[in-house]
Amino acid sequence: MIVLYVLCLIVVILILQTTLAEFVVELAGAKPDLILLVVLSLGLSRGKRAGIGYGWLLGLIQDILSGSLLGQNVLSKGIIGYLTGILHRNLGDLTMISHLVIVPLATLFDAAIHLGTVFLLYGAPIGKQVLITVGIIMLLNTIASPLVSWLVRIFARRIWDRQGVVSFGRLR
Amino acid sequence: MRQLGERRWDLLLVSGLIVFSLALMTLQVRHHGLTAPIERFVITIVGPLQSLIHEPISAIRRLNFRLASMKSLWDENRSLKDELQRLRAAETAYQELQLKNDRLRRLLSFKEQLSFATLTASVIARDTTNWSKTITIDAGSESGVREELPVLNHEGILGHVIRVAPYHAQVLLITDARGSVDAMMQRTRTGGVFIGSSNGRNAGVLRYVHHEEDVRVNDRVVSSGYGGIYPKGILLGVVKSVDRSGSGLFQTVHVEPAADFSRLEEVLVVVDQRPSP
Repeated sequence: MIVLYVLCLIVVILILQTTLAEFVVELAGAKPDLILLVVLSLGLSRGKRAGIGYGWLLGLIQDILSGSLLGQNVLSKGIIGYLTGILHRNLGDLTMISHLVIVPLATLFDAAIHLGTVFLLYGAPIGKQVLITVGIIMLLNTIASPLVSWLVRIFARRIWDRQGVVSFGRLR
Repeated sequence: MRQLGERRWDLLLVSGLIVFSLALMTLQVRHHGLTAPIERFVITIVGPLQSLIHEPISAIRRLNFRLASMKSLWDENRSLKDELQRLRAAETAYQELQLKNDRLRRLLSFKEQLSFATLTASVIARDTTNWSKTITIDAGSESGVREELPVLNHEGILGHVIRVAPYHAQVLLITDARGSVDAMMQRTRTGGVFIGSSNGRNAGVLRYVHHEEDVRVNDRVVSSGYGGIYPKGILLGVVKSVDRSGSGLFQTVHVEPAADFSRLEEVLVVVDQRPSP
């Protein structure tokens, strides 16, 4: 049952990423990374093991679906999930402050992983325009994070709190 | 006695009335001019009164008519709106078909100019991240698609196939930082390597172009045929700017891809680069 709920959450996020996010691209030239926001929420609310576990899984799915180099999103989302999971005891869930601080930092870290791997492996140039693109993505992620964390909270209540399951990490 | 007087009086009144009426009728018929002034007088007095009463009665009559016809107007309006909606939907569908027809005609015209076998496919999904430039098409191994097959459209090179499933395939676009294309300037035949930009925009850079080479803005860049993926001579893009300010051996040539990657709908997959018989 947990697997089903998690799959539903993934499907919902992927549908939003490929439909709503595409609409945003036409307006802003970039799109929010909803997978990143889900990993952040899960890490903060469930702990570091859950963060790294779901970061790994969602990153892998994102790599496969997006045609990215396999392992790029696995690495970035896994680390982000783990690091935010460390903050789990202190913050618990995404609050207003964490929306404004953690989300932009996580976006920056994710962009650094992507651009760094591409630069090291393919020698692709990183132009000045990339800073503008990263800035736009940070802004879009910050705007989208309350909605995503709300969705995750709903799923978390249904999946874990109801069943009292300890999966990947400990309950608060 | 009294009763007799009253009876006589009644008889007188009735006869007088009859006589007067007959006389009036006779006058009316035979001598109209005599009664005309009386008639005019009466009409002059009564006419305005009639007008005064007529207006509200007419208003009530009109209102009644409007109320009665409103329901039929309402029904007719709704029916016309439904039909308008249906016609608009049909018009939109027609325009969509017209546009698709135009696109396919252009694609077909381009395909006929090519000397190798191609397969037409539709784009069904785009990349889900900001940093990778890929599309998913609705043709896979069952249709003869394999990895590393080049993908084009009538505007130019789009990319090459990187992952294949039975009925779908993922295409890495040339604007992705991982998608390098061996290219050359069409005018001077100067060689270089086109690499997609990693900044999220649909642009790229032509690298390894020697500092001394003659490269101008608006020069066309085409595939060189080397590298084993793309056939020779397919348009890649146009030079947007040239930067020779660096001290290295090479100049930096910024290239605007010829294809509009934001509007990809149908593509051609080159399934066999050998010239068709």
